[in-house]
Amino acid sequence: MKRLAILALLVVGGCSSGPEAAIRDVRPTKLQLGEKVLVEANGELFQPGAPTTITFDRILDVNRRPLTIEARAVSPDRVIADVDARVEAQLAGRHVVQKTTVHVAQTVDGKVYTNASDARDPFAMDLFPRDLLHLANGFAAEAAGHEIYPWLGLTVKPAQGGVVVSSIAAKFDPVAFVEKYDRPSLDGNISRQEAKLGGLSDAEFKRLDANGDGNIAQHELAATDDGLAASAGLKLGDLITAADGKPVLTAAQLDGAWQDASDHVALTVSRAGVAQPMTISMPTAGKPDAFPGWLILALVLAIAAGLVALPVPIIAGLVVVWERKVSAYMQSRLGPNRVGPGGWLQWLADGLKLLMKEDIVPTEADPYLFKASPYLAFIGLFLTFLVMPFSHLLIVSDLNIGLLFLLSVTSLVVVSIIMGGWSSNSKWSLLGGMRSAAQIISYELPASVALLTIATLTGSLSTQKIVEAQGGAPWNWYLFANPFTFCAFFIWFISALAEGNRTPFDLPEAESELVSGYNTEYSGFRFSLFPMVEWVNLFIIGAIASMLFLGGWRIPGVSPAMMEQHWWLDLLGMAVFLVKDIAIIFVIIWIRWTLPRFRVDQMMNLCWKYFIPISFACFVGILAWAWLAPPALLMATKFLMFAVLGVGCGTWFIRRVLFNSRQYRDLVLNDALGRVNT
Amino acid sequence: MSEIVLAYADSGEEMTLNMGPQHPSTHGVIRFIIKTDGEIMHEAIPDVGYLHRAIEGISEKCTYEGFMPYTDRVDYVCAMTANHTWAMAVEKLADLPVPERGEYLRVITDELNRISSHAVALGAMEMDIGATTPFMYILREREYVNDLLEEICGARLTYNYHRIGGVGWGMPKGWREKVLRWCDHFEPVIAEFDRLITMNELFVKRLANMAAVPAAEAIDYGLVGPNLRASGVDFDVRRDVPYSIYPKLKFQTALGTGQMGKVGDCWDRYWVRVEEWRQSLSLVRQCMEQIESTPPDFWKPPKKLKPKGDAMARVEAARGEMSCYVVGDGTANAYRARFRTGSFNAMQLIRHKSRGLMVADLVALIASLDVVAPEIDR
Repeated sequence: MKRLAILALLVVGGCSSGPEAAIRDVRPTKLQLGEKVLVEANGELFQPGAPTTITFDRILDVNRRPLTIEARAVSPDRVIADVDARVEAQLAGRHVVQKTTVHVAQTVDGKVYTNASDARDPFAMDLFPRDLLHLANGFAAEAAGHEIYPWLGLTVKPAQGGVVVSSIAAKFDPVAFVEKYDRPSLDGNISRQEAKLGGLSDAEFKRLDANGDGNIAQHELAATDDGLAASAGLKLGDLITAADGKPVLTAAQLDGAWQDASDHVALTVSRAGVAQPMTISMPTAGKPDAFPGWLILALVLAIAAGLVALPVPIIAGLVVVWERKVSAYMQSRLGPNRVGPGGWLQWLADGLKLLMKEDIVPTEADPYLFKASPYLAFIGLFLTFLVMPFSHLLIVSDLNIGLLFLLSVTSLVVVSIIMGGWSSNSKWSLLGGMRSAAQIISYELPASVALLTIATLTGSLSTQKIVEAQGGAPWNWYLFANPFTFCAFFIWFISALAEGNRTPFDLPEAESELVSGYNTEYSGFRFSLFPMVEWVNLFIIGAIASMLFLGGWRIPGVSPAMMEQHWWLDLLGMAVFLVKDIAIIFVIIWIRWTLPRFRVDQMMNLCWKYFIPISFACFVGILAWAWLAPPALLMATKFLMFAVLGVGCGTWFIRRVLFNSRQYRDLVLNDALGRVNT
Repeated sequence: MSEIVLAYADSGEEMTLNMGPQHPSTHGVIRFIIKTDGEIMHEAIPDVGYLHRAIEGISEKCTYEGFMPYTDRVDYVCAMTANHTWAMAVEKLADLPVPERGEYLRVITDELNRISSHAVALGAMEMDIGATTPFMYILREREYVNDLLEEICGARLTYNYHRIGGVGWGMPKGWREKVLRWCDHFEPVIAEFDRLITMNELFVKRLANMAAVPAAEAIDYGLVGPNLRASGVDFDVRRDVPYSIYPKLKFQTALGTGQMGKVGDCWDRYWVRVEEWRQSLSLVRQCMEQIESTPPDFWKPPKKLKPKGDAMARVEAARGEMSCYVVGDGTANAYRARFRTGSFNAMQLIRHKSRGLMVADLVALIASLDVVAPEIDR
């Protein structure tokens, strides 16, 4: 999915923001002894095995020259360098990769090939994904009135008396092209192999290889029509006043000219006040279609969003059925068993029913807030799927602020609940909304601080890095890493129950007190979003527990590198992740159908008097532990923790469960009146 | 603590909240007008009468025998004791004898019905506190009781089993063994129930020290039955105003002791009912032992029932003492009949006790008093 999304975004980027720089990304943001520096290219530019160096422009070494370190190309698009003692000695105090450009130099057959990142766009703290940045640049350009014609290599914007050329791509230069890609044979032709080594994309290769013989010959290059605008003689700042004899005042009129033209368009261009005729040839591959760039962009975004959003209602539905089945078994009922195999399609029937219900907005309600509130809750929960590491490669976006992102978007739910409760203009809804606000805001504190311990331990907020820092075996999970993480897990888990309005903290929707709490006045589809959010939230709680404390997708004995090589290991990792997730969901359901509910004051006491101090103690404890404990103790602790708390408590707990279920079997299955219960 | 909160809350604005009559936790159609500041209630005023069906008036319009099915509707959760009250009142009025086996069957069905009534009361209470599973567990047991009662009288809720002069039907074949077998089954279920919810930390914290009613106050407000005994007042109609065959049976009344908090708090009211399960089981077992040696007659229908005078019968129902005062004027219909029920008196306590409680506590308070709407309004 990540690859797909990047591909989609690159396509969009290609449409909107001109050529990409060769170097795409540098990680980490800090050069530290023992760290690895990873440079990623936009395409397959490197030759593995060739001597390689990385130069950072803005990081100066002890001689006040740009820092250059030895590196190795591990794959055609990745270069890795170790920050060892030698590099550490060269560093003159500035360790942070800030506003630097990066050059990667490779020597192949005595010839030096250099690839650099975009000098206008130096690497800073990478808070924002680069692809999105390009997207945003494209949007900004369009918003400022620019019109982009990627197939001409031309961008224009409206001006007085016509449209002015605001950027123009260089004329296609066959000589430079051959120089860049024709290696190592230097025979003037570019074979498929050479193109691949040089990082030329397949699509591009096919386009240039006009006769399709798997070889780009000189004559094929000569016939290409890239940079048509530049070839016609247009320059930056030219004012286009007419096209094919009609005056051009807006970019839309220019569009019309492109569409009407057969093979070329005659332009009247005013340069420095002097009008001169100019002719632009249309691409040989035929006229560009009338599909505007923004529409493609919107489509791609919609498809990408759909791909991520599609599982959300399905997950919610399946969790609902799962909850209803578990609760039914717990209460010696049957549960849903009519719709679909074993009742597993019940959620579809329920959803359809709710869709067909009348959508009632109470007369006295605030109609706008009332209608907006369910969507807000949905958006908040839906966004969390962006950083959900289902597997090593199966993640939409590995944000380096993933954990912070998770905490912030889930807070949208409380806004939605207050909005829904207040705008309903019903006293019961209002009480539910206010309870919820107090509850979620209070419990967010211990939950966040508990998660902070994990972030501290990992040194990163990226969800993927947190998973990678753990191991596949239970004793390598953060749950058993030390006593403080163990404590933090339970603090977080209980707080998550409170944030998710689950029993014993289901006060906002306590049906015996508040009728239905904040969603009392909702009906139909709008109502259905609230339960959907509640059950997706269950999945998210399980997922966070799984990735932060239970090792996420890590499989014992399988390293992330192996997962990168075998796609089936990735799927296996996802299965491991989901199994842990489902186990946690089961526990949450179990708790809900066992325990009674807290009262408001008891719930607040628990949070402010116990959880917050304990969570801060955990945080301080983690710092002290990481700083003071010797490595041998770290190692011993996790095995000891696993043995005592994992195996010991686990066994006790399972025995307890078995005892009760045996009692249950004796009491219930052997019916008192001599009948057979099923 | 609550006084401080209340003093502070008094300075704020007051919101009037209408709870019921369709609210899920008002145990039928009862309405409360709540004056509240946020979560803290200043006052909860019960508004009764939504289920008033003029049952006492109906008693003047139909014959003594014909009124029996209406008594089922006085308290539909525990219909047997209401049957019993009416039957006893008319028998006293007309001075009618009841066969011994009939008395035993009345007590057995009363006690079985008490168990199922307490099952509803406690289950609903847990439901109101937020635990749904114990409700299901205990309603499963109530189903067994319903099965047993259905076998003896053909109905599962409104039994119409007791008759003036006895009971409608004798024991079916094998019924005695079934009841005893169920008693053996129910005893460990109570233990399981205690493990599941009675001693649950959260549950105890919600109920202990909550709306405690001291003994003097309980007497002042006219509380009866389990609510009265939870406050530590040792009074049980079955023992202190003996009727039927209760003098022949041995039992210990359950009293509230303040085990988890103050005497007479919500948890005590809960616990007394759990204890009464055990007590009722023991009563049913004793009856089943003694009923073997009684003559098989169970009903002596009165020939001509046109009594004159007045009579009063008191019965220990599931919601406490239910008494019936009946006046006969020598016709086949009663001149006037009056039922005194436990729930109605318990309702007046709520306004007094709700000051300073939270909205969630009100629900627990109502549930712990075990009020049933038709018994309040009749």
